[in-house]
This record gives sequence, C-alpha cells and structure tokens, in this order.
Amino acid sequence: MNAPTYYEFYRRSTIGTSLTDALDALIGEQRIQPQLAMKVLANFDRVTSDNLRDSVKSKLTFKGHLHTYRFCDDVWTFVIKDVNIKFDDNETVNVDKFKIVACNSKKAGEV
Amino acid sequence: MSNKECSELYERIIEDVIAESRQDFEDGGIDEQTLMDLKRIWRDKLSKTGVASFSWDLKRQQYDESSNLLGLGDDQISSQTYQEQFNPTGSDANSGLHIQGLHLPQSDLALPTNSMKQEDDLGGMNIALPGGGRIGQSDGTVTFTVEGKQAEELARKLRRTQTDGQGDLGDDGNELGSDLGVDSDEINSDLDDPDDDEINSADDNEDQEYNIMLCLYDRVQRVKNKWKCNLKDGIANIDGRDYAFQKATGESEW
Repeated sequence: MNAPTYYEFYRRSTIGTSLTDALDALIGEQRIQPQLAMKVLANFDRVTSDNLRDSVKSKLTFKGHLHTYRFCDDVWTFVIKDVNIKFDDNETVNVDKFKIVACNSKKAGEV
Repeated sequence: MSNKECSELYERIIEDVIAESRQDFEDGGIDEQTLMDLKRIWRDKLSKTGVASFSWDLKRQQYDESSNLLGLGDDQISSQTYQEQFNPTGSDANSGLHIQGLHLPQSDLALPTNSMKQEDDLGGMNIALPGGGRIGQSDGTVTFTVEGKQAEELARKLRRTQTDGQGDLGDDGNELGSDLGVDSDEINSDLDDPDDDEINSADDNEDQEYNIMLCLYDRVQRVKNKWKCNLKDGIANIDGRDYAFQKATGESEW
C-alpha cells in the first residue's frame, strides 16, 4: 500500500506559515514535540490539497512580462513583472512583480 | 474581488487539520487543551496577517459590541497610561492570581469575571481577587498570573484596549507580544523588498512571502518568447490579500 504523497509547498502560503508559527510557539514552550508538529504539517499538506481540489471554484487570468523562468525538479518557477490579474468578477489588480511556484498536477495527492 | 472563498477555504483547513490531528495528539499523550490552543494561536496569527477576514474576527467584533452595551467599551479603558506585566512563565499559578505590586492609577480591575472597567473619578486602584479580597495600591508595577480561559479573556481585552505605552502580555500558549512589533511579518516590512527580484530571493527563509502564487500546473507552453500556462488548485497572495482559485491561465512575454 502506497499512501499518496502530498506536496509540502502550500506550507509557504499565509495559512501555512501561520500554522508553522503557531507550532513553533508551542514547541518553544515545550508543550509539544517537534515530531508531533511534523505530523500536524503532514495533515495540513493533505487537507489543503484536498480542499483546494474539491471545494474551490474561483478562476483567474493574468498577463505580464515574464522576467525569469525556471524548471527544476519538475517545479516551474516564474517571476512575472507588470502583471495584470483578472478575477472572476472582471475586477483587476495590477502588481509590479509576481512570483509563481507551480508543481506538477500529475503527481499531486490524488490517486 | 471578494476573497470570501479564500476565507472559507482557510477556515475549513483549520477545522480539518485540527480534527485530523486530534488522534496524533492523543497518541503523543498531549491533551485536548493544547490542541485547542494550537487552533487559537493559528487563528490569531492568521488574523494578524490581514490577508482575509474571518468569521472568528466577526464574532470577536460582536463580542466587543456586546461589551460596549455592558459599559465595558474600549472608550472607557482606552485612556490607560499604565503598564501591565503578565508573568508569562505561568509558574506557581495554582492559586490563580498573584499580585506583587501594581501601578494602575484610576482604574478598577475585576478578576476573574469578564468585566474590566475604569472609573476615572476614583483616585485609587482596586483589584478584586477571586476569593473576594481586594488590594488597593497607587504605585509600583503589577505582575500577575492568570490561568485558563479567564487568562485568555483578560489578555485579549488588555491587548485590544491598550492604545498607548508598551505592553508585555503573555500566558501559557499566548504570544501576545507578537502583535506589538516583536514578531512582525507585516507587508512593507524589510522582508518585502521591491528591489530584490532574484528568483531565489525567498527560498532561503521561511517567512511570509508576498505576491506569490502557489499552485499546480497542467500545462506550460512556449512559442518563441510567448509563454502560456494553465494552472490549478492555487493560493495566491496579491497586494496583501489571499485568493484561492481552481483554475488560472496566464500569458506572458519573455
């Protein structure tokens, strides 16, 4: 039995960093062991991947100047400048610089 | 654009992770209270980032309003000029409340009820102890240790209502100092350096990253210098707000 593996990179999101901070606080106070924190983070990887796949419906598009691209270890990284991001409701946001880290959808947690 | 979907996603993630970690906590011999503390700290830290508004923030706001009705509103205690110092170690806390000395001019602090009010026309300071005793004192500093729910309640109130001076609050599991600039991850901090456009710029630290999209790719195509990508299942931080998306398509010229 091979349990599906989940990407860990969502830990870099705001919800992920706030969880890591919270776990660090509890570890610092010696209320939990780092091993337990790792299990919680593994749960986070799974829950986040599943929820993103199953319950999010929004779409967006973006246009900009590709400043840097990289493909390494099956991960695409783009730095895009002067980006215009358009959401579902036609509202747009412009940002000077935007970074995308994208993992291969084929190896995601889904079996 | 509303990022309501992201708020809902984050709230669901927290609920699910806490629920799924319960067994891990039990297996590790860690009590339920610690799990609940994790949830609370997680929520607090997330709220402080300001990337979305959450239902628990709303509840807290409603709580504030009901406090106002009871005459415990912020305006009544916003004129604090004293320093509070909680003992963050929580040691020797069995008896619930320790007062070693205090400097709280013109205020009336009642513990452990939810009430905390200041009566400006009183010249002195009174603290009601759980046992019913009172201490009146007009100078010195105050250090006291409160445990459990009451501590959370009180600490939150103090943190929320203090508008000047420095506070150094804390109890078991609370990092209340962190919103006072000690542990600031705010946008526009030094971490958010607009001149630093190296692709690796953020890889060396684990701090919050800005204007970043974390997602999966279905397809990345290039024709000459034109790139197209089809992305999905992503979380994006854009201009200080977080957005979740099922699909994203992008076009860019290199």
